[in-house]
Amino acid sequence: MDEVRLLQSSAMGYGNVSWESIRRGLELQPHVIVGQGTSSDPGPAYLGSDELHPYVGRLNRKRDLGLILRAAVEGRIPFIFSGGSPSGSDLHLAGVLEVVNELTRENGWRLRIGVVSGQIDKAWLKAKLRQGVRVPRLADYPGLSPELTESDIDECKVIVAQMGPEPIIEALRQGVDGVITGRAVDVALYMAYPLLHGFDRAVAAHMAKTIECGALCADPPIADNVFAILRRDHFDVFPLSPERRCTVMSVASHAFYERPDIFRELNPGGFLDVSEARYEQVDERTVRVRGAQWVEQPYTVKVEGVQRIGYRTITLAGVRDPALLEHIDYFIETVRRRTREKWEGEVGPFELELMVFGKDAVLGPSEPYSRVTGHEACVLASVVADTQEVATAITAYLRGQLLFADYPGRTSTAGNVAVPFSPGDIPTGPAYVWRIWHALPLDDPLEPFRMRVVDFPCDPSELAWLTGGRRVEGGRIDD
Amino acid sequence: MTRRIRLAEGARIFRSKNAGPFRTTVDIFYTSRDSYLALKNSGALTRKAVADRLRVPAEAVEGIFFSDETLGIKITFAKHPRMASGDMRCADTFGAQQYVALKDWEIEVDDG
Repeated sequence: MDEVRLLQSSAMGYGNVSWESIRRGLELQPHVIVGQGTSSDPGPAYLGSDELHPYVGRLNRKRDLGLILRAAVEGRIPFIFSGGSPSGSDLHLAGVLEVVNELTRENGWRLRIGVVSGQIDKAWLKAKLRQGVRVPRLADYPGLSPELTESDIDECKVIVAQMGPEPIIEALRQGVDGVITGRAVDVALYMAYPLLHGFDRAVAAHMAKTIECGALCADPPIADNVFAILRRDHFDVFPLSPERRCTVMSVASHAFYERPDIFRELNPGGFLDVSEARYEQVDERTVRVRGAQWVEQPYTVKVEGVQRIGYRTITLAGVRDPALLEHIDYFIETVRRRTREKWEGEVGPFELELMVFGKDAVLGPSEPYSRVTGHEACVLASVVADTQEVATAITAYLRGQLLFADYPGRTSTAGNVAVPFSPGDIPTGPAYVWRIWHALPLDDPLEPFRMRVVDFPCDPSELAWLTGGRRVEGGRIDD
Repeated sequence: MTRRIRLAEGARIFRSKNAGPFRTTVDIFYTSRDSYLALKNSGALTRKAVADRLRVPAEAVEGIFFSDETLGIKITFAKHPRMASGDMRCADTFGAQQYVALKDWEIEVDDG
């Protein structure tokens, strides 16, 4: 094999996969279609979510996965994607697989799929700690234990780890038509096929890093498919939409994206160093890249876990009166104090937050302006308590304070704020925070990642290993 | 001759995003090499200066990178306590608006 031609497609399920772009990609005879379908960006709540299809919803998911599988079937090529957006937990992976099951049934496709779970068994992880394995945090943040503890593991509802390329390679070796993983390192998905076929790790990793967000590496940068051709010491990359092109600038600058460092990127087993990378425009739309280095490091995977801190209810209140805008800090402090005084001791511990959009809600302490400078503002109140009922009760009381608390110069004795919508209190369900964001050393990159080969379409019972025995079908999960 | 310019002057891209839930990374790409080099060579973009601008401790500013090839500057810093993605005080889950704290920052540059 002289080269690997790789067709990239998002597998997040946003509903924006373009069949037109995929079709153009198929004409170039790709060896494999690859996409990422997990992310921690949307925040901690999804990893805790009991919904089968959170975040993107089942309709978007089914549409996009249908196009990726259609490409694989029509192009007779293997597919590799992570699934269960955004968390990659077993429940959400099961959601992806029940959609795949339905798609294969509806379209008459028969697909043998290697399924690799990214969810970590809590007892296994505790045993690692008891063996003396040290699991340091990956960010110096007060909410994270400096080193992972058993109590962290107990407090987390679900724990996942970002697998490297090795479990995916192992799945590809099982003679499958494709691989669907849970939580995985995005670049690992794109590296797996080239590594299986003996290509250089640095070239594969740099190619993967470049195309993992699709045409965000192109100009203009936008969500769309890209195509990469990987050879022994370099790779070429170009977008599949004719109205976009890759330029040296667009590709080199993508090294910045969502990364803390522009020259070094830590991956399982090493870091990619792109400081000596060279970029060359080989035609109007294609850039050739070479020169990155792979520096071996002890093998670690990132583990992620979320803790439920209670149930959240929110309410919004519009402020238009210049007198209130002038005294907004005093007013907010009054509302906060009165709500605390009323409820502290009445119920269990609760958290209360008031943000003023129009002042410093978005930037917090980094906001250069210290007061409201526009003519209106919005107060967002958020209460987290042990139960939804208590959170909503506190929020309702707080809303009353927003409407009727006094402030200097107040004339609005019939109500201080504009409450949008009815009902004005919005229960948002369980609230989560990140509790585990740590680096777990592994002697064997495969060890914590369970794998099964499943022939689709299948009986739903064949997916129950991901759901604690519960049956998943047609968008529903049995209790 | 010295003059003061905004960090956003001559930038074609000025954006931010989470680099994980606990840190924000700001990317700035300039159109002209002159503006980029003037800012880079000003020596004003230090961890201390960025920290003062963001009102965070100096150790919260984890990295400032200059890329001559792309005319790019990257600044990575820890999020405020209680403002990590998903926290009680989080109003920007993706970190997508945090760059604005730096956009109007006036930097003294030497036009030589």
